[in-house]
Amino acid sequence: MDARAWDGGAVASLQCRIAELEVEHRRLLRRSRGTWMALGVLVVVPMVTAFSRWVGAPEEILVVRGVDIVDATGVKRIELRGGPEVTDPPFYGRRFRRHGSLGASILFYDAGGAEQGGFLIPDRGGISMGMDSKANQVISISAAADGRSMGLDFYTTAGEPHRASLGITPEGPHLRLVRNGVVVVELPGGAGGVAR
Amino acid sequence: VRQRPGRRRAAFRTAGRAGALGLALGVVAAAAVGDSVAAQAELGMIAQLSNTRTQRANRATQEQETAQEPLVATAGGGPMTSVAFAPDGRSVASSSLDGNVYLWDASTGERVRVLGGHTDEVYAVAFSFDGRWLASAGYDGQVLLWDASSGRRVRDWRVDPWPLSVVFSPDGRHLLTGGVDGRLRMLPLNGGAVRTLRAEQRSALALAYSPGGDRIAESWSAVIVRDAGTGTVVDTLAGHRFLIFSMAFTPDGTRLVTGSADATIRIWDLATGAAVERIETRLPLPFLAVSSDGRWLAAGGADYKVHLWEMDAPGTEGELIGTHDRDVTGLAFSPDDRRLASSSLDGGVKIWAILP
Repeated sequence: MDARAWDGGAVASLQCRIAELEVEHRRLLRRSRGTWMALGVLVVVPMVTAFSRWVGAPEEILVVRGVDIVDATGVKRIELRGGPEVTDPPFYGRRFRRHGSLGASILFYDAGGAEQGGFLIPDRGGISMGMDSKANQVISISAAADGRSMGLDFYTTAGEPHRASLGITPEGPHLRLVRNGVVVVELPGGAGGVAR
Repeated sequence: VRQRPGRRRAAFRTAGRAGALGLALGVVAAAAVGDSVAAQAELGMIAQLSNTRTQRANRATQEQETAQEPLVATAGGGPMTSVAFAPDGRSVASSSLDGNVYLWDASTGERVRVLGGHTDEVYAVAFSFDGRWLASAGYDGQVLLWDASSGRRVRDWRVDPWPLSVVFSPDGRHLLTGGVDGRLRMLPLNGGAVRTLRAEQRSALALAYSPGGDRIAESWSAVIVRDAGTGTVVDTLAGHRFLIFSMAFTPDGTRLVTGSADATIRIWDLATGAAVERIETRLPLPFLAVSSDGRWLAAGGADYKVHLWEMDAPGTEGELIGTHDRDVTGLAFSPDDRRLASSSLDGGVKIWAILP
């Protein structure tokens, strides 16, 4: 067998093999298309759907009854509540009963978990803001729902008993200063009595 | 013969001086190095550098003399709310906001046992006087009785809404709890009905039995003293401006020491009902303990520190024992008064040497 005849036979064989491979290739291509379509249905479509939801998120409103925001150590530092489900205030780790009216609130806590103050909007109306020392409220600001009564109060819970109160009631404005438990200024009215 | 606090300070100061000597040598060495550098610098700069070094050395020496490292510091567990020494002095129990009660080896600080059973924050823990039982109370309204040696839960009671404090009666017959509703409840250990005492204040924050067991003291913003048998009020100790978080009778039962969030510690004469001593602190130190011999008073709270006073001279500035990283929430002397355990919201229980 000469080289040219051998080459011709080999070429024919190779051409035949190439044709077979082309048929196989087309078959695999069809199958892969089907696979890709199935993948698209199973994976891509949900992803696209989720993405489109994510893209649309800023236009949506998160509706919850409450949110607790914690610091890096897991201590709750901010508490948002949409109703009376306000937690009992903890001081030195112990929870006490929360007294007074309840409602929507924003409360703030220190790094040890003790309540340090917040805003409260009672269901019966009005608004109040409190700021606490280590274990008690020392500043309160409140406004009644009637629009005619409001007050500002500073008072010590440690050291000497001092207090400064300023308010407006339907009867008019008033100012009261208490030094060491004794009323030193009261307007309108007298001064010098022992503070209740 | 027990050493007086003055001797205690002297003993610790000796150790402090050794440290101070090391520091002083360090300062000299540093100054020598500094001199070679300073030869090329202006004299004013040298003086300033030297002065700063001296101040630093002085501060370090002062801190070393006043504070100490704990003998034992535990690790693991949530923020701690109370601590109690076992009567045999070998273990310490603490309650935690993570809902567990922890038992620690008082010598090594190793966690011996975790007692789970509460479903919420635990506020108080107490050993019975014979050391057999351990009681705990918490925000879930449960009062649990444990076998202190095995950790087995023996009994449980439901207190509505929830208890803030729990103590054993000296005769070991019942547990006494102070409720957030102000009511006291006597829980019989050997069966029988729970006896409830009428609330006298908004809450019963702290409880203490007199050494003879004939008086009960309960606190909120005032202290109510009751006859332990009848529950009738025999005295009211008013004067604190805010909540009283802890109390302790002196061993002779004649005085009561109270720690309040109004930043004062007061010592009351129970015969007259008057406060005979008043310690004012910069920040509230409302958690306290009195040693079993009545000589020492330890207190801690918002400044994260543990302080010690001599009961005979409470007006003097207290001695700094050590520090935590968060509020101190409980203190307990060991039965021999040589050690002091402190619990803190930092999640730790530390045991300090009171006598070297």
